Amino acid sequence: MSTEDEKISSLYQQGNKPQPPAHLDDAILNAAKEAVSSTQDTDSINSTKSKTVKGPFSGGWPATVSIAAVLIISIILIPLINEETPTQSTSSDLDIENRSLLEEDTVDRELVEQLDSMKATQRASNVQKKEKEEARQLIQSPSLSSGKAQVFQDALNPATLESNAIKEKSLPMRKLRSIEEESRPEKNNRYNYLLSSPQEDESSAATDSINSQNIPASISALSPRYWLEKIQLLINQNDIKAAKKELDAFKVEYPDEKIEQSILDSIYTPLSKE
Amino acid sequence: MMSYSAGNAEAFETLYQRHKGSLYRFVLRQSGQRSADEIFQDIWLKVVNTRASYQVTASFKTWLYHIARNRLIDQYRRDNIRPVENHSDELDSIESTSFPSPETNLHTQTQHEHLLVAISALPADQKEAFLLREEAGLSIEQIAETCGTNFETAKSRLRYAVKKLQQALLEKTGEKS
Repeated sequence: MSTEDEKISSLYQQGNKPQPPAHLDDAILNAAKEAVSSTQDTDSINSTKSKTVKGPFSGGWPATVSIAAVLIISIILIPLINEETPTQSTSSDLDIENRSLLEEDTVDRELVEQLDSMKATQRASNVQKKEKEEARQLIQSPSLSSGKAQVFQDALNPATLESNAIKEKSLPMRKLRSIEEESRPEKNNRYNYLLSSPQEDESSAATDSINSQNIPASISALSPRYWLEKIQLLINQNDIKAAKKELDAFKVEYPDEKIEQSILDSIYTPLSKE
Repeated sequence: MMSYSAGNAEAFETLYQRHKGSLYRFVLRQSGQRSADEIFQDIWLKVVNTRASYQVTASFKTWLYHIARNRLIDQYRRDNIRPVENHSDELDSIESTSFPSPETNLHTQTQHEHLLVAISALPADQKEAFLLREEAGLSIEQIAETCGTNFETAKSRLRYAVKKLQQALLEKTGEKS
């Protein structure tokens, strides 16, 4: 502030200083006091109201309870829900699952195959045992020819059995298939045998059996049905003698088996004519 | 003011006693004796009514003079006139009541009268700036804040006001001599 400023300022301050009238002071101060007191009254009325009229949800407990509820839900219920409902897997997860299922399926199939092969081996061994038993009985019977006996001896030879067993062990599935094929008449390898020439039919049963599966013909015995079919085929080929021979063998093998009358007629009627 | 907002009526009385004279003169110098009382009362009632919304963003003095300034502007608009430039009524009252006119103070009193006449003749913004400094004791920054202008504008207004007052006093002295 310059000296001229100071001069002007001091001159202004030296002069008379008018003040507001007293009634104005009183009015303003009273208004100020009333405003404050009315506010206090309103506050006191509000406070008494808030004291007297307290609703069930006034106070701080609803907030506390709601926080506690949220905590309980998040800590306890959400893990429980997650445990109960399986998580939604993504497409990649599904792929992985499918792959694992396929792998499991493959493994299962392999296991089933192995089990089947084991069953088949068991069945084959049972059949072998049965056949051995029968062969022993046949060997012991006095009516058996020396050639057949020899064949049965060969069949019961441990070496032959061992080789057969090795074959069976090494190829369980093949054995299984062969058993399956045996159960199917149209694919039966014995059916091929039926289609063979009559000269071959006339050869000894032992040779046939060796040629077929190293099992004697009487032992590897055709099932009654196929045997009868073989006989019928021989009849159809007009090889009555061979048919009769087979029929005799069939009767020996299956004495209680019922033979169709047509077969009997077609064999015995021409023979009786002769 | 915060104490008064909290409900202490005595705090308001303290504030009032501290600022009433300067504020009254600030209003009186700009509006004239007739409307000064009404404006002065309105300003303080505004302070009372807005006590709840008062925030300590500036000093109470700056806030108070900001209210006063707005009320004066409203008055100018209401009366559809420019700010008072001639305080003849005020000068009359000064002459009738405030001058004992002793011999020793005669020169000073005369000069003061001349100064008041010169102040009333100032442009409104310069008069406002000068009165804010002399009556409210505001600094240039506070004047700028109260008037809603920047520092340089407030400073130049004040400088022009002082120059014009000096010039007016010199003219009066020259006339007398």
